[in-house]
Amino acid sequence: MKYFLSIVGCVLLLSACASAEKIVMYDEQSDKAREIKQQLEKTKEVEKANVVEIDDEILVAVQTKPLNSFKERKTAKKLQDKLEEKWPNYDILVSSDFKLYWETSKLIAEKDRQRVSEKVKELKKLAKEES
Amino acid sequence: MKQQQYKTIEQQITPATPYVLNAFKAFVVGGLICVIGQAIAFFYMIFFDFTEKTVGNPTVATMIFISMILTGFGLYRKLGQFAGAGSAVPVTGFGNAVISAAIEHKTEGLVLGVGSNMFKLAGSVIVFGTVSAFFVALIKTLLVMMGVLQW
Repeated sequence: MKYFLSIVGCVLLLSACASAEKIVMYDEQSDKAREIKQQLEKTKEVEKANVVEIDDEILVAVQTKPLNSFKERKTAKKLQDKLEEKWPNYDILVSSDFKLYWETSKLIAEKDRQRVSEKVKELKKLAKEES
Repeated sequence: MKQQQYKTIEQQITPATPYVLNAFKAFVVGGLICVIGQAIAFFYMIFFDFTEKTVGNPTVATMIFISMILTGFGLYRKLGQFAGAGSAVPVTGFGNAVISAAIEHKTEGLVLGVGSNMFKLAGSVIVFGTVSAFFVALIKTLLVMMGVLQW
């Protein structure tokens, strides 16, 4: 039993460490998404991120490294300012909220672009919610 | 027996307080309560439309509800005896302080018993929290008005 548990533990540990892609894009062909990915890779506080770029909406959900989580909102704000400077005509939201990260992770596999667009709008509205 | 003598004898007889063990117990149990709270927060974020910003309220409400049930069944007392500050410092300890006072004074009536005694212990905490929050908000408002900080 102990032997079995130790093997299961090792497999779980290894599989958790070997997550393939840390910064995931919805539309891999898009130049903008790729540029955003490069920008995210340069930011050393960011551990994982989802980039959803559809029509004129950009939603970036970032998760920071544990020690940087105290200033995760500042990191997101800085990234947002940079992206807004680059593409002023786009509706951009960079968020460090776990809810947005969770929902965008589900969106990455979605094929229907219309649904993705609707969901992105919905999430942006949700992120503004205060109460 | 002189006062000094009494003091030395008393000190010899009193068992030593296990500070390190108590701190360890408080650390573990307090941490566990926080883990449960975090799990509830994740539950609300994953299955309902709450963000990290808004998930605090339902999580606290649920934690207090759980502590209310545990207090009613007399289980929180046992936890408090074992963990000390570990169970008193999180919001569940605050709930326990209100609810146990309410249960204790139930026989004296709803208004004069429960109503007037419920906040015996927690009332000062609420007053202190509200007043200090008011002053912190006032200071921040002034700083924002002067242009030192931003919202």
